[in-house]
Amino acid sequence: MEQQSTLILSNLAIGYGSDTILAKEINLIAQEGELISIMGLNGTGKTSLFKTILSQIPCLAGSVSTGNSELKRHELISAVFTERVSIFGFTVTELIAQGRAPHTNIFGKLSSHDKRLIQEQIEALDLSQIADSQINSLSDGQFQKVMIARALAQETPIMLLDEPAAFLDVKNRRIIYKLLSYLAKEKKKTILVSTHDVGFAQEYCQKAWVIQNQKIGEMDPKKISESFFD
Amino acid sequence: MMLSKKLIGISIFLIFLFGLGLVLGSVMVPFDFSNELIYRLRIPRTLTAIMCGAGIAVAGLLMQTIFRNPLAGPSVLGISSGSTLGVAFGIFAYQSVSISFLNEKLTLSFMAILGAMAVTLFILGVSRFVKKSNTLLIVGLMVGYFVSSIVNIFSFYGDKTNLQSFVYWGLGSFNKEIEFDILSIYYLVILIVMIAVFFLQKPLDMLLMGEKYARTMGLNVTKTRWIAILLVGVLVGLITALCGPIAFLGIAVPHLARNFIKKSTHRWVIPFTLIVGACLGLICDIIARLPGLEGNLPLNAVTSFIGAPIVVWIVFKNKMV
Repeated sequence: MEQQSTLILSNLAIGYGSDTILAKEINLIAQEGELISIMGLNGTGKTSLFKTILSQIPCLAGSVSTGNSELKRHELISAVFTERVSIFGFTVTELIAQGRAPHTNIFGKLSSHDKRLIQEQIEALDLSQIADSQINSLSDGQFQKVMIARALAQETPIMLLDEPAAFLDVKNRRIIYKLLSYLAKEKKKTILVSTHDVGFAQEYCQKAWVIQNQKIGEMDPKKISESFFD
Repeated sequence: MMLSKKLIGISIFLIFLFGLGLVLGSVMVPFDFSNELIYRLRIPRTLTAIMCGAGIAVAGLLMQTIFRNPLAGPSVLGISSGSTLGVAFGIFAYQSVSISFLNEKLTLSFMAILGAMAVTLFILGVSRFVKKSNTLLIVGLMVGYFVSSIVNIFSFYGDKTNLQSFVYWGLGSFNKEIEFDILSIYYLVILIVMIAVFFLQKPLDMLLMGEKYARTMGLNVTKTRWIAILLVGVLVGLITALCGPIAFLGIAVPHLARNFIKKSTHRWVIPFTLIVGACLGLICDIIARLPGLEGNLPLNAVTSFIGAPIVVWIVFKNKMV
């Protein structure tokens, strides 16, 4: 199982076609239980890196590989994005259940195992109180927690989060950060988080991947300060 | 299991409307299946109203989900106009005088399907570059106008007999003087498409969360969209060829269904949309031939009369003002 949570970027180049290479010669490894912040100024390629890892856009060079090449990308990696999606008529439980979609039959029927897993995520993320609430009635913080619960229900060893706390207030941000730290440490997930929050990187992350001058390098997050990118 | 009860309730209402549809009309007849008026005219007519009402409604639902836009629908995004163009092309370009022969009727349906799919494809192509749903609606409206102008040019050059049959067709009606054998081909195809929609419920649910999330859960978004477009094209094309361009039912019914059950999961929304669509189709048809009226009101006028206020209500409810 240890291998499954390993993400290997070897000699990778990312971007949109050969004219717009955002970063190249990327050689990085993410391992089980690591919480890694991905930092860089706007437009340097954080989101493109995620899209490449999720194989939504092709690698311009090199490769993205995981410990288990037999599993499909969505069986290994789940994702949470910045923007809130507006969905009428979905309860919290129904949305979290969507995370089971890769595992269910053609009609999306939930097995008792699926239902138990969904219930576990609801309890783990302290969502029991709002389990039957409508998605559109949630606060932004609650919504992101639900999306994280959905990603957890997908049962992937690796999680990608693209600025998950960008729209959240200080309190909700800390809740999400603590949760991610807990998931990496206790649930042995490999978690990549793109962020502009230096404090988060310093306080919670073991590693920082910094995008600068078309390169992505690994750094000790403690050494990154607010003025780092000046 | 409130929802199952609601489903049973509305199904009973549908059966009641079906009976009402058989009895009511310009002539009130007793409920008697041996009555020629009933089995020659009223049964085909009410069945057409049910199939086409349900079909156009579920087409609207598919479109609202794949476009992630509450205002998407066959008539709003110009899909019906696409079918109209197909039919106009069939009637005028091929100078077919009568549209009641099997071959020509089926040819017209095929043209209507092609027209519907061409416009759907175009709109879908545009939607990839358009972030705001309002922009997409404007593009759809313009496509509708553009296509209508081509239809008008056809009409201008077409001969009088064709023009008359085309205008009459455009008013819309569930009353078709076609043999039941041919009608049942329509019913069968529409029924097959409806069943196919049930098999899409999981991908459609995933698409409600947006393309980005759907992809991370392993959904082949492009394939799903293509299938959905194919189904929408067949539904809208067939129904438009048969009954004329039906305005507003496609956009309004999915909202009525969702608000009725307070759910968006397709497992429930699909059956409710079908049944509510069938009910509304029947209601519109019954109004169109209210007892006491000599002829029939144009179906299109009735569906717009009922559908347009519902759409305005949706806009206000979703705070889109």
